[in-house]
Amino acid sequence: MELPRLEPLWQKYGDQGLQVIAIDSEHDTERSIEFIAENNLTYHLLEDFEGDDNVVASKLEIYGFPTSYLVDREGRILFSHIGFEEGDEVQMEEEIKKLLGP
Amino acid sequence: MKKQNWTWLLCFALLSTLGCGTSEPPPGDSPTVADAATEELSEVDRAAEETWATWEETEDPEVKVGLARDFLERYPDSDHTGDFLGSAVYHFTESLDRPDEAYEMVETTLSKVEDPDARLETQMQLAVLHSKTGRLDELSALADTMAEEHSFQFTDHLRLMELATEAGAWNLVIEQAEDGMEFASLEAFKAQWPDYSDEYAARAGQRRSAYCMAYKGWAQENLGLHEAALATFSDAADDTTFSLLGVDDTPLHLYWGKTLLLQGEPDEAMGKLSVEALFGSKEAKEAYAEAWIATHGSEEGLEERLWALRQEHAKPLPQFALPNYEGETFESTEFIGDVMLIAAWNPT
Repeated sequence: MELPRLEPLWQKYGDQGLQVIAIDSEHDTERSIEFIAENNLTYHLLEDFEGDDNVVASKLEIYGFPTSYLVDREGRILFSHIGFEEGDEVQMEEEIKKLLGP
Repeated sequence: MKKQNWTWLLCFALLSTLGCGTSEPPPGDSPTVADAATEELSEVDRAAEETWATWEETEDPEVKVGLARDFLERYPDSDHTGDFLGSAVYHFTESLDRPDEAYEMVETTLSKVEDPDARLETQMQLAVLHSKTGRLDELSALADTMAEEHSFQFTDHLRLMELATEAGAWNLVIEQAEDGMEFASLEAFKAQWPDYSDEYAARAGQRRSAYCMAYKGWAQENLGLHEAALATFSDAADDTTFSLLGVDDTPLHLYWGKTLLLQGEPDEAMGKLSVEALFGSKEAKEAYAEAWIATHGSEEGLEERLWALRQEHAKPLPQFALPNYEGETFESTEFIGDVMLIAAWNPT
């Protein structure tokens, strides 16, 4: 599961200007809140809408989970990760460092 | 669980529960309106939920296949059959290297299952095993049996196309792709999902077509039908399959690029693969690197080229506003100026 692995990134780079934002696309609020509490997640946790207002599918065009986008300081999507494998957070960290700059 | 939820869940189960890196999104069939949370949980649903909870607590594949076995012995014929069998088959084959035991579990389950959906899922796991163990004749025969017994939806053809591709059963790939094409239209999509808009259904129909043509073309190339393969890819070319990032969310450009690479056209291959190599699957990145080495002699300059391409192809983050669990609204524009890591997930 990807989400708990993002917490250390947020802890480490949050004060250098990294914002971690998870969007929950399933509308099972109770279950999500339980998961968030169990894993002590402290970054931005948002809920998506249902139907036509669905942001994940309609605006971000994401159909497989988990998928993540890395956005640079100018608001451009520079990296994406579809799926999540053991060790992907290492590559993600490299990309984050690249975008945060010196 | 409604059948409607299934591709959605399958995709997620593969990606996160099993940790395998399949990078294909579902083929445009995923509903955005589905809510099983309000339904009363039946005994079998509760048992499944408890089993999954225990499943999540362990990393030991031996324990996991044991959990699946216990569950399937108690409840062989339910909406959960495919999920448990699929997970067990994955661990038997990928972690434990004991496909014989996976066969035994699948065949025992199949002998007890009557529900048509559960039967189809069980047969599909048998197909997975045939694919993984390279039993090509059995795979083809099973595909015929399944087609006779069930009225296939597009996703059934797609899964067989994928399994046949992995196994190198090229004739079966072409057969399934041609059958799948019957579902590749606005009308066919709406027949299955009437609530979707014409615009969405048209795009979904195009994506279905691109999936079929991608697998068919790659199969033709592997059968030595080089000209036919290129013709198939050209016929399929359609920009309606591109996602926000410019990635083809079907394997069309991946297989097109790989085919060009095999045909000794690395420059053209890089053209087809470039955006995929930036934002798509690992397979596309590897194929792009291979094409780069074929034209430049080494990996030198590859990273710089990819970085330049990345700048060139980067898309702006669409603006959105969403609430957190306390009901406060978050605006995506709030953090322009910071680096954002945006992760879409779901808790199941």
